[in-house]
Amino acid sequence: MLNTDEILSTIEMLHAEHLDVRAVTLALNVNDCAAPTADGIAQKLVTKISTFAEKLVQTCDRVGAKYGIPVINKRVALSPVSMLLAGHGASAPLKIARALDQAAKNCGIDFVGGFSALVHKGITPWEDLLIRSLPEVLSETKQVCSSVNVASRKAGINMNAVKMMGTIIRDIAFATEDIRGFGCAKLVVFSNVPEDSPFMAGAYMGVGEPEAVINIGVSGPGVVSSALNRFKHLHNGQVTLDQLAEEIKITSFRVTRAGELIGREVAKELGIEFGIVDLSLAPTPTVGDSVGEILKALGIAKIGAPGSTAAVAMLNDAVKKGGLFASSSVGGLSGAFIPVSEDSALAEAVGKGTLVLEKLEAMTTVCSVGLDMIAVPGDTKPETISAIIADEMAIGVINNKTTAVRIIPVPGAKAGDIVDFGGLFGSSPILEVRNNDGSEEFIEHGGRIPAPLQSLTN
Amino acid sequence: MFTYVLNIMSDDHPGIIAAVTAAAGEIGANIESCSQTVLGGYFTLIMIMTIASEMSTDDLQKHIKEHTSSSCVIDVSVRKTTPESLQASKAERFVLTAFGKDQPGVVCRFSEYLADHEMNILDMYGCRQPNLEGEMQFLLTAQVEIPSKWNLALLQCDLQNIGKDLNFTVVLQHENIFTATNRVRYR
Repeated sequence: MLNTDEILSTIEMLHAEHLDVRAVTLALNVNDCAAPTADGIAQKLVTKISTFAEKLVQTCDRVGAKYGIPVINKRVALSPVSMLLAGHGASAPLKIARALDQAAKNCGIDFVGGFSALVHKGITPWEDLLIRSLPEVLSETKQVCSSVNVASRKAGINMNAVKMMGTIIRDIAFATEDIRGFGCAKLVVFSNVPEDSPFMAGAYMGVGEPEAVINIGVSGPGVVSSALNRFKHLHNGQVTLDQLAEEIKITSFRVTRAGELIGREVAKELGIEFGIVDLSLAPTPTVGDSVGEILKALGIAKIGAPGSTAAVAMLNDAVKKGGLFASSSVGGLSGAFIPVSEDSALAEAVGKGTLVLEKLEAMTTVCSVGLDMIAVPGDTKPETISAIIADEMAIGVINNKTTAVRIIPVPGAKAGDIVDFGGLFGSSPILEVRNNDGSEEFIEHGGRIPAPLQSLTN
Repeated sequence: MFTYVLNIMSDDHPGIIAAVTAAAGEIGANIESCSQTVLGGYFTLIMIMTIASEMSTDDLQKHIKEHTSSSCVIDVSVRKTTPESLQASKAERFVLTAFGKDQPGVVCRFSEYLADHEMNILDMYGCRQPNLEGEMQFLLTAQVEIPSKWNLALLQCDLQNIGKDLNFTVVLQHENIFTATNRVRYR
């Protein structure tokens, strides 16, 4: 029999602190959708996604209601679509992307990820085709998400791909100028991309996975910041950092358990294998549901002030420790996200000038996932965008972790202007990019930054 | 073996369980299961015991009362029971939680609905407490068994409608969410 304290503490977490399951993502290998024509591929993709994901939304809703925890986003992540493009012409990517958009609509899901290419050591013609199609694809479709892995611990950094992505991101921004460059929010550039992440825009299905698998992303940071504030209140603010770390760990344990329970039951009902729980704290623009609020609860009054990196490191580590004990199926990115526009406290800090690009970069060295949802001036040079990507990739490669860049040059906007992407993507002041003209020669070199010494582990 | 269920109620003080179990021991009773709680200064104990030779419920009640009189036991009731009635139901367990401004009739309203739908209450807790504004709130939690024939979504909808009438927040959730989030071992 449950005791009353157990019931009340869970009720508080669910209802006062708005615990939810952030994402249930059906990962699907679509290599069997290869066909002689692009129309054939498109048709096969729609059929396969519809077959597997037909009941995803209703199942998530039913299971969520049974346990009193809403599942916010239901998604599909595909094996890299670039593989299907081998031997096809320039018109194929858009036809396929439109089919994916249609499949998403048919199933009522939020996004389809996996319009992706893995080019960390070299670029095949079909991966080149996919990357060059991104300005058109991300402007002509609504629910298709893309990712490009340009670096890995074992391969180093493909600087030809990094250089290419700077130009592509600029082109996507101008192709979606009418929506303030929003197309760029659907593209993530990675190093060491995980094969089982449930979070968009970067979710894709890796080659080592089964045909279909359910991965889930647990709740947002609001639960953690509420738990910390309650703990501080109970002790009249007389708490040490190790006590706060313990509180984060306990909260992460509970949140992970709730997520895994939902994920396993959804997977069972759909007859699909359960994959992983991603422990990542993923903020939303809702006030309170913010990693920045956690930093404030830890005592960082001005986010970006000295101490911010240490606070993020402690948070990230405590989340992992609690989550790992809760579940033996932890994977994906599993850390704390700091997506600026999606996190009201971080966006506010950018507006006040306490949080700058360089400090954000420092914070990404100790958490997942990287420079995420940062809006920069529309006149940021492609070479500078590439250089920002290169820096972030270097952090990932040297530290053997996933890092990523989701950067949005907003056409016509200057540093300090406010851009609003709407809904879960939030709004943010435009970050200042200093030294916009200092990296051209470095980027123009191209080639590859060799794999680091740490890659030789055998 | 003959099985009996005892219910003891008293004002709360040390020594009640010691007195009851000593009395049970004198007639060779074996305790199968028991549960005790204290609410508002009152002690209550429910106990299932087996005895090798049959006793009438009146004799057993008299024996326990006589041997616990020094502990000021104020009420003892006894029933004979059968192993069949002790078998666990196969229905799934859910937790009903309701909270809102305190008012008469809340427990009655929810328990009537549960009774009408053959939902057995396994455990219940209710308390009055002021909220931050000083307004008296009532919180009710009940662990219930729900027969598999019912549609959960409809039950949740009905209970929420009762909640709307009372201006209460009402939630009905499967018990596994509570075990998963509180206990190290749960599957």
